[in-house]
Amino acid sequence: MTDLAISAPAFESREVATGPVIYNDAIVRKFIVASLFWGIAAFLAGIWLAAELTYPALNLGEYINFGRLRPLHTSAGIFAFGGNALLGTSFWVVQRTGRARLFGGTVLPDFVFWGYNFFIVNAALGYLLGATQGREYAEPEWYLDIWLTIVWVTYLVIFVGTLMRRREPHIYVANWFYLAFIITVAMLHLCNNVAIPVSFFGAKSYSYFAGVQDALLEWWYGHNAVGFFLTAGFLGMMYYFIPKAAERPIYSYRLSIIHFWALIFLYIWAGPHHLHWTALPDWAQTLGMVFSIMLWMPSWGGMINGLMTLSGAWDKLRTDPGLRFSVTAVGFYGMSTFEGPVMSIRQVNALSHYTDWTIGHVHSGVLGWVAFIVYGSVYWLVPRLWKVKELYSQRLVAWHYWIATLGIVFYITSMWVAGIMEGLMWRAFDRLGFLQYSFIESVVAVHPFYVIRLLGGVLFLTGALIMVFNVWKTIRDGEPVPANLRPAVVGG
Amino acid sequence: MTDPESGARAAMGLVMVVLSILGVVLIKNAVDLPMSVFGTTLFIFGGCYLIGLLRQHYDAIDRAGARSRQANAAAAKMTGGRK
Repeated sequence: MTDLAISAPAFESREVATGPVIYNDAIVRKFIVASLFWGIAAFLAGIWLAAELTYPALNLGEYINFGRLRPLHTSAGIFAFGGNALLGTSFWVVQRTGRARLFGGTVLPDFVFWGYNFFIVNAALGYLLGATQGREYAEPEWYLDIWLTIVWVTYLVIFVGTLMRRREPHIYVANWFYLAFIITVAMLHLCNNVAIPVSFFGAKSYSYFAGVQDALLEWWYGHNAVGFFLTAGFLGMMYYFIPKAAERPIYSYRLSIIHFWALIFLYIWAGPHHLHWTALPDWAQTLGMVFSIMLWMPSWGGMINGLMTLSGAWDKLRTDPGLRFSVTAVGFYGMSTFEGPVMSIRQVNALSHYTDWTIGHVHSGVLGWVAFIVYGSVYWLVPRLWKVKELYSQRLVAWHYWIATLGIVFYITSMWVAGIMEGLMWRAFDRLGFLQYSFIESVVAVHPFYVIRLLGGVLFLTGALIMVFNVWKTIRDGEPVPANLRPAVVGG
Repeated sequence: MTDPESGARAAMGLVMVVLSILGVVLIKNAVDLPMSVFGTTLFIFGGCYLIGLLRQHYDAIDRAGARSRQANAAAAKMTGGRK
């Protein structure tokens, strides 16, 4: 099926008088391949880490012990797998919805692709060698922070430049989400990484800030990495690819605008909920908690908007397993954005903080929401990017869907049970007021759940490998779309 | 027809030369292993990128030449080989 056969949002189907546009799809192809590659790397690292937690003897040597491998896993998942998918799809979406070729020719987008992946490789090497700022999701040291700033500003220039040369009067809502993601991540990155290097020829640096201010800044960054990297950017993906795959317009365009402004206004204040029961002033903790609870409204508004887009097209879920990924992703988005505010309530946080409940929550978001929306988008994009008629096998997509879903269910349910059990054991007192359990007793108690988590991870990786095989076969053996049936505006 | 991106490629090439030199400087002066590794990868990145840019440049010249030959052949066909 070609682009022409898909009903686009209304404004996209307008005829453009100024002739065809040759889109730069080569850069999107590179980002999608990189995203799949890094996804496998991230899941493999995750499985190894889960195995290390379950069987500590697997902490072999200094380079792949838990402490060094853990940031590699998170960065590979968030920035490498998710980031490459975001950059690639944003370049696709901004070109299609604006009917304009990417700004910067091929030179600037190529630099962003190679520069971004150079950053990822060096961040990973740095972690394994022990170079880290010790700031969650912002582990790369100062020299890589500078490098990423240059790459990110180039990305911003390309995106804004493309918007400015668009041939459509309206800027489609997906672009607003992508733009919020790009600008806010730039701001967060610059503020959180103000550091003084010990030497310009050495990796080590120290944060400019100290104490609780440093912690607050870190979690202002950390939570908004979730809010703007893992949420806003992927909502841009949702608002483009679900209407495309469902062949329906968004349920409510007005609601999508409210979703956007409410989300970006509220999310930026929610960070302090990571510092409940710490030296952070109570009023700041309460502020973070209240804004987190308020986030329910826009998050669920967006979820409802995404799901209701399927109105009149629910039957497609039977025949289009790729769309099933996207819709399930929206379901996980709703679930995670319900769970997050609950965990941000101070009294709930007293139970959940430092336990595996948090790990379960994060993975319901990253596997269920982020990875699934990427899968849905990639399954839709691949035949169009490589100009073949259809995916190699819809059956394999369905297998991927069920194996990955089962993997997530194993993962998050085991972590919920383990986390709540840990929280309850840590604060149980006997009748004399002593702690009822030693810490090691809670470690022993969660062992079976760590085994189940490991199994969940293996299932999720298996699904991803099926996807890679399917995509590879589609690219290699797919039946090409005849040149005369290709959309006139597609090229590159 | 000249390659419209040749100027941009030249500028990017210059940036890559500077980055490669910076990589060498870092390798020479690094005080720890992570910075040595970064210098090495920066040098390799700049060098490989430069080779890629050169390849793109010559590919563009080849494409322009092929287009020009095609146009000349078409023109010759239309005029029946007369000058």
